Amino acid sequence: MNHFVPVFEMEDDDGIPSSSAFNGLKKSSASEDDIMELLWQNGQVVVQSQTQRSLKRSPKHDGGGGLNPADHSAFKEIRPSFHDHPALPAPHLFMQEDEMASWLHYPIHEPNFDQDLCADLLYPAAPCITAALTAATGTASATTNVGGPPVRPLQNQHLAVARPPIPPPRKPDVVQNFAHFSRHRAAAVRGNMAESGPSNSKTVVRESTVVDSSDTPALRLNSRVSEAFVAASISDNLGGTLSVSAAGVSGGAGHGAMAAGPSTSTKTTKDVMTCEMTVTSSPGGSSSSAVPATQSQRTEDRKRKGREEEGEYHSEDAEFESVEVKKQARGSTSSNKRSRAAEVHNLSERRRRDRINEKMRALQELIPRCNKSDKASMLDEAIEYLKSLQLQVQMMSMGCSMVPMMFPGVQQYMPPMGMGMGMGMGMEMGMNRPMMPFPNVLAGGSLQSAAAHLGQRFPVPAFQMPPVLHPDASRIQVANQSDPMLSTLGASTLGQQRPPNFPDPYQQFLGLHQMQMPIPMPQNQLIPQPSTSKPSSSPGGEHGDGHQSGTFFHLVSLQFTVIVWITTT
Amino acid sequence: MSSRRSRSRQSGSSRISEDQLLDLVTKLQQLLPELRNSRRADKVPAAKVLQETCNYIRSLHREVDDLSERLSGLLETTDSAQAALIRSLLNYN
Repeated sequence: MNHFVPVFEMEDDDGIPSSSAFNGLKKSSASEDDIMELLWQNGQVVVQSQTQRSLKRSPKHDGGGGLNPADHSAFKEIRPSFHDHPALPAPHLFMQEDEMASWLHYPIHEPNFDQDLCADLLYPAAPCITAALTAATGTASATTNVGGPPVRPLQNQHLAVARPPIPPPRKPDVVQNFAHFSRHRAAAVRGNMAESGPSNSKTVVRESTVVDSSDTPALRLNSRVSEAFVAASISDNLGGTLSVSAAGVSGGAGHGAMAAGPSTSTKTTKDVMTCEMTVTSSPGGSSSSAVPATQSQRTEDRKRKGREEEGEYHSEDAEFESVEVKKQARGSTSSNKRSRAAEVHNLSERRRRDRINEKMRALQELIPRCNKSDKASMLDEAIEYLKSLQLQVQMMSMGCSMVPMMFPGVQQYMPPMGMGMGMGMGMEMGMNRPMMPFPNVLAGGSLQSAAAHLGQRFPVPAFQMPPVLHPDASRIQVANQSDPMLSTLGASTLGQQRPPNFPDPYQQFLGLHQMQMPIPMPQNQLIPQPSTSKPSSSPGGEHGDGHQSGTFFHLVSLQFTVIVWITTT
Repeated sequence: MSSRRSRSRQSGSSRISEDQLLDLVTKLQQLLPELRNSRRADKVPAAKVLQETCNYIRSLHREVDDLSERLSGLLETTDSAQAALIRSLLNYN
């Protein structure tokens, strides 16, 4: 996962304060409360606005033929028991639910990041769903325990089933989507299962972690359940409605086997099971009737919708089966704890990696011409660019301090400036650089004869070194003090003029230059008396010389010339 | 610890290892004046290093802009030959 992951927008999230994926990721812990609230509202909304939903659903499916009667039959069963609920401000809440659902659909269309996002956003919410639905179904189960008709649990089950998927996904690749739904479903199922006892709630918690880890391919914690589950959802996804209907049938069969399972032997859960049998049988019928819908060339959307519903039902069944498997396979709570710890760690690790990736992306935007895709070369470029930037700033500040020195009026400020620069730059930069020896600079003026034959190739001695003009000793001493520093500075800047990522027009010249640098040294030694003994040349001639050599020679010589020239002007 | 396990598993699939990344991040950290002086003991998280790098690059950009403005202002007042020298010196940084 690198920085090429597109940043996707989620426009219409109302309660969630995130406008981008990374914000959502970052704030997912902060927005847990919001999601909790919303989903809690969902729980209430689903309980209380079922008539509205059924009304809304029926026009959507009216082309689907078989889907509709099944749903209607289910809802007809529900409705009479439902009318004793007070009609509350359902539309508003229902709207919120819809928005939430569409928001939940959003990241699914992004190819890379949806898993992280969904897992991050939904995982903290899943227990809340459990709580909410436990509370919601708690009332219903109370009535069931008293001896109510099995319509009530059916209603709950159906509510849970019908909750998320009203807006269909816009792209067909929705494996994640099913996982998603099935997590809701798992939560809902948990809500029902939690009535039967505390042992069930334990498996519920474990179940949540396992489901979540099956979402993230990096983990692959529990092979069996997740494989079965992924296989189920993939078959839902890839297969047409035919295989979906088959899956629905098999799901129903598995469901029957599950209902015969011994572990959930409480009366209420049995009621739930039988009611779910009816529910799953009804989608079976609807799926069989959805096949003619595809044969008669209905729109893709409708097909998808129908398929999606089958997928829900089926994944719900898979969930139930996996719960059974879980119960029989491992009953210890230590593995539960461990998987939870691993899950939490995985979450934090993922957040850390996301933060790093985000910063990497920001860094890449700051570095020009950085089209590296992997982190290592990205960081390499960042390091080099940082170095070159630091160097550039140093050079420019040096240039800024140089310019005032070029005025003749401010000549007296030169030695402290030189000292400061020498201290600052020479100490910092010139450590491992080729040091230009001290006499070389001062003897520059006396090297004219030597430079005459060297001049075409090696520019520095060719530049006529202006000697120190003032005859007083203190001035000379100051100049002598500051000169080695500045020569160090000159040499160090010469040596450091190699920002590797930049087009370097004088790189080859640098090599030549440094190779030839020792050449004038013996000549310096040959001439023992440096510049103080030389007669002072006129400023005009000096300037002309400097200008001539500067235009004549390469830039490095220019740089050096300027530095040397400034020291001595 | 589970952290070791999961990290090694994840780094197996990624292109560069976590150690390599940490090494580079440490190098980067040495370039940052804010984080240069932090000891090895208190480990700076990589995200913070990267964030500081971004900030530092931005501040360096600002500094470069500021300095170039000042320089161009200064060079306008100097005579042309010297200005040409300094300009050519600075342009090829």
